[in-house]
Amino acid sequence: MASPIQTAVPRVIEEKLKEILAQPRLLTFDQLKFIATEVLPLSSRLPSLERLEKCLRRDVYRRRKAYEDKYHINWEYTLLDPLKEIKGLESLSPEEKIKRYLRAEALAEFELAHIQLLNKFINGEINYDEYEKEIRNMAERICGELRIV
Amino acid sequence: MYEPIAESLAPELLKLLERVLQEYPDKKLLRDIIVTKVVEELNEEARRGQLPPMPPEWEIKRRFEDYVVSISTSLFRSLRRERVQDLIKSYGRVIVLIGAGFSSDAGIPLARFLNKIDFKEALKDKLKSEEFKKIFKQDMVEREVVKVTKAHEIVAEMFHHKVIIEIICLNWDDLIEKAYQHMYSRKIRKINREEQQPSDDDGDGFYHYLWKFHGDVEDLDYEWIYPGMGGRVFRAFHQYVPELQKHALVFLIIGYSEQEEEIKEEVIRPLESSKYIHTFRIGMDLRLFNQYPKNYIVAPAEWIVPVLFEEARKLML
Repeated sequence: MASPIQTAVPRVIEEKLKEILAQPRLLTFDQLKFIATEVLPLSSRLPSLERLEKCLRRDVYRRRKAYEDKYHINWEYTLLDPLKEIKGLESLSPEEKIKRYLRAEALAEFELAHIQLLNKFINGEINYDEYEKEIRNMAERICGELRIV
Repeated sequence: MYEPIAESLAPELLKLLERVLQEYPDKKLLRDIIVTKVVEELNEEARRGQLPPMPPEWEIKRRFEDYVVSISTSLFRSLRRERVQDLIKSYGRVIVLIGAGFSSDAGIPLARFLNKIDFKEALKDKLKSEEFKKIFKQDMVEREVVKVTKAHEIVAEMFHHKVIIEIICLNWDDLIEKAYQHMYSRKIRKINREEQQPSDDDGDGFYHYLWKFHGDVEDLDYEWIYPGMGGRVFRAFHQYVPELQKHALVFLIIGYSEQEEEIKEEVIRPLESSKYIHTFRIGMDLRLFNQYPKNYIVAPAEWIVPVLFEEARKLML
């Protein structure tokens, strides 16, 4: 039988989260946004925080690997490696850990866009002002929607 | 506000440079120059009320990374793809314009000199100007505070072999003269006053001089040009520019801040606009790098000058 705390979590959010946790694919940006905006504020009342943590951790690794394979990003040479964001989290509370995983996800998303834009700039397809403007828009969207700042 | 964050990231930023630009000589200096520029940009944006959308440490890292990528791309493009060394070796006819940053060794004491005098005072007060010249001469020449570097020697050597056809030196020091005298036991051909007339002794259409438009420590009686005065170009050189436009092939601007209108308008712009001349800028000024991303090589002269003339020197030896 569900505890009073569990029942206090809106059912629709819980159901949606269960779906997300069960899927084997990478999380979509909308799903991450849902975790950041709907799940996180209720996280202290959620029964399965550990599962969510694990899911996000797995997702960060897989996203990083997918970008590495698809876009030949050598993370060794970058300063913005999402894995650095999720190092040494042991002492943090589950909520804080989830926030850091979301930060890492946002960084992976952003770094991909960054590298693609940087290539365009280096190849002369866009000038520096256009590059700066685009990167700012991208950062605002990703960081803003995932409530990173 | 960004300084402490940038400071805490310093070791990580240096590690990136060590991985990406292994051959670069002074990575700490490069890191500090990039970090200073990034912090300056962010502070400027903050003053305008424009805050970065990302967490500050990401923003600093991202901008630092961008600079490192574009600096290494420009080095790669110049040295590997366009092969400036081959261009110099094959064609010669190089014009070199030298500014205060020509030698980092020479540049650091120079900054100290600059603090000793208020140039606006020197402009108005002849006595103050004379006093400055004397202090400069004592420290630079008699006490040998600044030493000739490898870059000075190579410029002197390439000038002697006529790979470099003209040297425009805007510094008051006599380090190129010293290097030349030491190597060839005679004085370099030099024009350091308006009234001196150049002559084409070789008959090859070039004058082959060291031009010192802004004053010379070997000539304290002549008027020096100080920062903020707009620069000076001698009439004889002005008349010579159309010839150079047609016959020179490489123009290297080394360690010059491009602040003086006269030099920009009368020398740099006409030579750079010539369809025969390949222009390259060399220095550690990221403001100019942003302005001329296609032909600015971010590197200290002491390291890059030997690299650029390496192939040409092989032919001479």
